[in-house]
Amino acid sequence: MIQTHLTILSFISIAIILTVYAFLITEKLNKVIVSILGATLLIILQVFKTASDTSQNGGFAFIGKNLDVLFFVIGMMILVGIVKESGFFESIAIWLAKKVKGNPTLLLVAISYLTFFMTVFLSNIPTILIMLPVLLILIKELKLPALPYLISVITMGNIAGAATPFSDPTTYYQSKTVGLSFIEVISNSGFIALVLSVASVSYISFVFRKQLAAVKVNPKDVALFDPKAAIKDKKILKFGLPLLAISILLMIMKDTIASLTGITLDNATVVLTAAFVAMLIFNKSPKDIFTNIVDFEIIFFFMGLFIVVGSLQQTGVVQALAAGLVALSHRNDVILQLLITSGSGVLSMFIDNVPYNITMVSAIQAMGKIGITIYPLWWALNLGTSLGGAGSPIGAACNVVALGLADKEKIHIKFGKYLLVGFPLVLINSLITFLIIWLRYH
Amino acid sequence: MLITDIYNPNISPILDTISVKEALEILIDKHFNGVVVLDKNDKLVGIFSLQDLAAAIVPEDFTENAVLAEALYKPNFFHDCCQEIKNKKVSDIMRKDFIIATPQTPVMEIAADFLKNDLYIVPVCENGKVIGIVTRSEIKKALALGMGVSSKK
Repeated sequence: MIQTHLTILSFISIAIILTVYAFLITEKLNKVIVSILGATLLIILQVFKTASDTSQNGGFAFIGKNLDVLFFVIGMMILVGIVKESGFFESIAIWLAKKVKGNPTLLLVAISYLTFFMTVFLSNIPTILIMLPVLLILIKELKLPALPYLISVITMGNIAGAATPFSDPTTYYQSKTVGLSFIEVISNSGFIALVLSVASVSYISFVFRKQLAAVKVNPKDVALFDPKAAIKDKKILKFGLPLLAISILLMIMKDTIASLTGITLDNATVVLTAAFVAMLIFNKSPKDIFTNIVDFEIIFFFMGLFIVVGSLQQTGVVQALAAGLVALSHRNDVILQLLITSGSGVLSMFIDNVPYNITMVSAIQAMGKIGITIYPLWWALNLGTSLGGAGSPIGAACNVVALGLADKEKIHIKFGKYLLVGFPLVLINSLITFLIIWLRYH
Repeated sequence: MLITDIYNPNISPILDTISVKEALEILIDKHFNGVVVLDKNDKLVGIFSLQDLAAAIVPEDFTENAVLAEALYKPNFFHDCCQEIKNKKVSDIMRKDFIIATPQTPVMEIAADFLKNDLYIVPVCENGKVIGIVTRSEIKKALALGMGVSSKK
C-alpha cells in the first residue's frame, strides 16, 4: 500500500489545483494569471516550508528542476520562428498540392502526413501556423469541405507530438523527468503514433467519403501553383534550415555522442545555442524576437504549474492519487494500462494536457515505488494525452489556434460537429494504443 | 487650421441596405473612393471605402503573407471571390468603427488619423447630423492651403 499522509496542506494544495482547473476549463480568468497566483499563494501559505528551507526556496526549486524544459521551449520557439520565415515549409505544402493535382483524398493524405512529420521536428503550434494558411486557401480555391481537412491536420498535430522528446513540451518533460532515451520514445510512442496516424487518416477519409467524392477539382486549378514563389528569405533558407537540421540531429544523437566521447549534450542547450546563433547570423534583435516570436504566456503558465503540481507532490496528494488509481484497477496491470490510456484520452479532450501530464508523471512515479510495473504506463500516458487532445475543439492549444485561423477566413466549425467525429476517433485510437502496448509488454 | 476650413459639404451618402455591387457602381460613377453610409432614418451607421471592399475580397491569409497569392495562383480565384460578395449588403462589409470630426476639430488630428488608420473618409458631424466629409482630396486641399499652393477644384 502506498503510504498516504494527507495533511491540511494537502487539502490546501488540492483546493488550489482544483481552482486552477476550474478557471482553465471555464476560461473565466486568464490561465497564466491563475497559474502564477496559485503558485505564489501556495508559497505564501508555507506549503513548501521545510526544516532547512523557506517556502519560497522550496517552491521555486520546482522551477529550478525544470529550467531545461523552459529553455527548450523558448529555444525551439525562436529557432523555428526564425526558420519558418524562409517560406520553405509553405512551398513544400504547395508543391504537394500541385503534385496530387488537387485530388481531394490524395490531398488529405498529403497534407496530413506533411503536418505529422513537421510536428515531429518542429512541434505542433509552429506547424499549424505554417500549414493552416496554405490549407485554408486551398479549401477556398478548390471548394473543399473544411471539416475533414481541419480535423485531420489537428489530429496529426496532436498525435505526432508524442513521437520524440523534442516534438512537444510535455513529451520532453516526461522523457527528461523519467529518464527515457530518444530511442525508447521513438520506438514506443513514435511507432504507435505512426500507426495511429494511419488509423486516423483512414477513419476521416471513410467518415467523409461522400463529401470528398463530391468535390470535383480540375487539374488546371492547381497547374499554375508556383511553390518557389512561397520562398520569402533565401538567406534563412540557405543557412537556417541546416542550422535546424543540425540541432535536430544533435538532439537525436546525444546519447550516442555521450557514450562515444563523454561529451554530454542536452536538448535545451542545443536549441538555445542554435536559436541565438540564428539571431546573430540573421540580424534579429532580441527585442523583436522576444516581443513577436517568444510566447511568454506559455513559459509563465508552465512555471506556475510546476509549483502547483509540485505542491501536490510535496503534500502527498499525488501519492494518494496513485494509490487511488492502483486500487481502482485492483492492482491489475492490464486494467491500469487501459485506465490510463483511455482515461487520459477522454480527459485530454477537455482539460489542458500540461497540468494533467505533469501531475500524472508524478503519480506514475509514485506507483513505481510500490512495485507496479510502470514502464508501459509512460507510453499509455504520453499517447493517451496526445490522441485525446485531438478529440475536441478545445482539447489542445494547437486546436484553438487552428480553428481561430479558420474563423478569420470565415470558415466556422461547429463544436458539436467536430466532437461527433473527434470523440469516436479518440476511442478508436485509445483502443489501438492499449492493444499495442498490451501486446508488447505482456 | 480646423476642419471647418476644408471639409466638403457634398455628402453623397449610400443606404446600408443596397448591395455591394450597387455600392461599387456608385463609387465608380461618382469618382469616389469612399462614402458615408446612412440607414433608412438618415442615421450615420458606417463608412464604406474601396479598402473595406478589397479587405472583404482578399483572403486574410494572403493579407498576412502576400507571397502565397503568387504561390497558390488559381485562374479565376479573384473573380470567384468578387462574385461571392457582390450580392452582400453594404451593412455586412462597411466599417462600423470609425472616427468622426466636428467643424472645430484640428486638421492635424484628422491628418494624423489618416496616416495611422489608413482612412479614406471621415464624416463631419454637427448636432448629431452629418454635414460634410473629409477624404484624401480634402487633405490635399489642406496641404495646398498650408503651403500656399492653389488647389484647382
